[in-house]
This record gives sequence, C-alpha cells and structure tokens, in this order.
Amino acid sequence: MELLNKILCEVFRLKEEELKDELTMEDIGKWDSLTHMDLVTSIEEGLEIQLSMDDIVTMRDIKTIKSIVQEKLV
Amino acid sequence: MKLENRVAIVTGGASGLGKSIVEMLLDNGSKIVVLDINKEALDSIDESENILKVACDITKEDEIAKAVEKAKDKFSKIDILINNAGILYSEPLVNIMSKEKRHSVSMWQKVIDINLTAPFILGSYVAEQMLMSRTKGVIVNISSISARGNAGQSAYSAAKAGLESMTMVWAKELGSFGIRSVAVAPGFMDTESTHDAVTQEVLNHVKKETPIKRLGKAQDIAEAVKFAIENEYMNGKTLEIDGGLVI
Repeated sequence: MELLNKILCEVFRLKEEELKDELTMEDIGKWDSLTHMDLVTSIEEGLEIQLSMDDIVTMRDIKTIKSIVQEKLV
Repeated sequence: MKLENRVAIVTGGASGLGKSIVEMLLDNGSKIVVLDINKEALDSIDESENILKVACDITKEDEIAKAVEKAKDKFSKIDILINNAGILYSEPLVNIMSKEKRHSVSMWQKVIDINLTAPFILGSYVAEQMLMSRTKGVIVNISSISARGNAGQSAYSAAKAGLESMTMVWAKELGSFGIRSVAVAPGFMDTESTHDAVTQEVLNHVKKETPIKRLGKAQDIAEAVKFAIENEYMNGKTLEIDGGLVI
C-alpha cells in the first residue's frame, strides 16, 4: 500500500499527511476526469495490475481505490 | 498493430480515397464497417462476411451512435477508426461575385459540421468503446495540405487544421491507454472530388508546383494509412503525403 499511497500523492499533488481514506473526488480539487485517466495509468503501470472499466468508474474516493487495488494484489 | 482480423470503421468508405483505404484494409485481412451517406455507392461494394455497410449521415449524432452499435453487434469490437469522410469547398473570404459579397456562413457551418464536428463525435464514440473494452486501438484522421492555410479555403483549411489539433489532443489524452491518434494529410489528389472542386487550370498549376510533378493517387494515401496503423510508435503526428508541394 505504500507504493499506492505514493502514486495517489503524486497524481493528486498531496502531501503524505494530507492523504485520507475519506477524501472523495469532490474534496480533491485536482481530481477531474483527465487526472482520473492519469490515476488509472499510474496505478496500472506502478503496481502492474489491470483495472476493469467497472473499477475505473467506481474509483471515486481514496478508500474505494485502496480496496479495489488491494483485491487485485491478493 | 497488425491489420489481420482487426475491425475498422471507415467513414466515406464507399468511394474515392475512402474506397482505396477500405480495399487496402480488406487486402490485409481486416474486417470493415463502411459508413457512407451515399446508398448507391454503398450498394456498389461487394457483399462479404468481412464487410458491414451502414448508410449514415455523420453530421447526425444519433446516426453515428446507431452505426457504432451496429459495428459492435456485428464484430464485437472496434480497433481502428478512419475519419475520412469530408467535403471540399472553396470560396474567398470576400466574395465580390456573390450577392452578400462575403463567404457564405451557411457553407462555413456545413464544412465545419462534416469535416470537423463529425470526426469529433465519431472519435468520442469509438474512443469510449475502446476505453470501455480496454482495446488498444488507432484513430486515423484524414486531414489535408490545406490545414497549412490554402487561399480560397477558409472553412476547409480551418476544419482540417482543427482536425490535426484534435489528433494531437487525443494522442495525449488516450495514449497512455494504448490508443493512438494519427493524421494523414494528402496534397492535391487525382480523385473525382478534387476534379469537381478545383478547376483544371488550378490543377495544372498545382502539378507544375509539385516537385513530384503529378497529383497524388488514392493508393498513395491508403499506403500512408497502413503505415500509420502499423507503426506503433507513431502518435499525435501528421503524415504529409503531398509530393513535396508547399502552399
């Protein structure tokens, strides 16, 4: 999860201490649809997993992203 | 990308440049969805299990949506979109021969609708399909040498320049998902539409000014489209196939 946190901070330009599970798309100013595409490719390349389109459209808060990624890494 | 067993949508594929592109793709083992507004021209294409012919007015979003659905129903996926359909139109900005003395606004809009808005709508529908199915595909936009600004073609030049700009945007937005976007810009072509839109005098002048000393052949463009699809590192750029002509 450390690598995922790093990716999330990089994509959303957040400091480590600012990254909270309860943050949503609405809370993070930089999280628009284009950044969402960057997020998907950064996660896929960084963690070497493939997200489905269902995953991609469901990832609307940090907690859900972590849960989806965790499932893929098991 | 190898062309064998790929599914390609070609707009304006029933005649002219589009038909040559369709023939090239078929020769290389692709399956084709030919979109064309001209039903007679569509009927002239031989039936085959590898071809789906769809009569479609690409200026109407609902018709595009239906055509993309038909393509998906028939072949299950879409790997390639060739935005080829377009109209050539020439009129000076100040037209002293016309009643209004200015470039027709309705013709400006028509040229933009067909040559720029329609490829935008098609691109959005097909890219959505590619993204949803995580297909690594290619979008080829057929531009023109006029994108550099051809006197007497405000609308056509603006539309083609817009198309090349859109190609660059899509390359950046979709590239990380493995979807490439490339433009091919023909010079003056020896096709019916060129002969309909440009006088023989002008064409003679063009031939004289072109270092290769001839008009382009449809096959020259089909070969460039093949290269654009097959070369997996080409993205966001325009292949200029114009015999070296500078306008």
